[in-house]
Amino acid sequence: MDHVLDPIVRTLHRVLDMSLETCAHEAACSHTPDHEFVVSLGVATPSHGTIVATFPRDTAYRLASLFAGHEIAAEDDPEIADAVAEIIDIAASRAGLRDPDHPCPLVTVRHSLADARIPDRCQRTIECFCNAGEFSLGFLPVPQTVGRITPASAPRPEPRNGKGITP
Amino acid sequence: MRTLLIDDSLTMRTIQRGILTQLGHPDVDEAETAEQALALLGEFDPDLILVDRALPDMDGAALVRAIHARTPSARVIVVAADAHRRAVVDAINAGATSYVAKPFTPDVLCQCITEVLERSGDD
Repeated sequence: MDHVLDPIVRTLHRVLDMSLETCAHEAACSHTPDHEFVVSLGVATPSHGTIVATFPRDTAYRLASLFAGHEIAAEDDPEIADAVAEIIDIAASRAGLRDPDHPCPLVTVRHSLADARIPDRCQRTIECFCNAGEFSLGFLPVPQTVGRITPASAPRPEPRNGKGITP
Repeated sequence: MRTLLIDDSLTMRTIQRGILTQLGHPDVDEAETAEQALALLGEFDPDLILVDRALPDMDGAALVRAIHARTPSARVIVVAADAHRRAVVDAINAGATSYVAKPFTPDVLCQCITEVLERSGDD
């Protein structure tokens, strides 16, 4: 996975470096890509706020399949979102950025949840590429609600007897 | 051998379940929160527990302590995205037997589980 993670980790650092600059100087708004999968992750270092990663469906699907080690169904939004969130979580941890008070990424899919409009509020966004395809990373200088949720279109399995989860 | 997987990521639980099944340990139950996990402990009585360090409702080290208090004989492997030294020390101090950094290959998790079970047999 390193060949996939490393470009994301590098870009996370670039986004945060840029966000520090934009705090000090008025920044021009950049284009916000209309990507379908959105992951928000609270970060504490070097600037407190929210990393917003967005992925077009193709990239998200390829990343998820790489991470899971098997081909995920292209329309399986919950599994794709879950895997992509895990990748961003790992990349942010590897970059030493994660906010310990908000350890879990928020996963949204643009067509199902209003929170997916978060990228529109990013000060600036970097569009970039990894082996799985294009994606973008932005930074919001304010904390957002974070915590793993699943798209409304396909809910997670219900806990069995209110306790364990059936696979 | 019974194994409890505690991770808020369905993908991670699926990967871990697959590896355990390959190792010949298919008796697995899952929890996606610390609350679910603690509720399951008495009923499922696991021999091995894989714990995600960053759960939505409880810090991983605190959960390991709670598990250790309830089922001291269970072996606990902490699985986490951050492999920083402090995180490892926190997990071990809390009672974890071993620690695996994400992302891991199946071989790495297999080796870790095998080592933990061998150590368990020596006790």
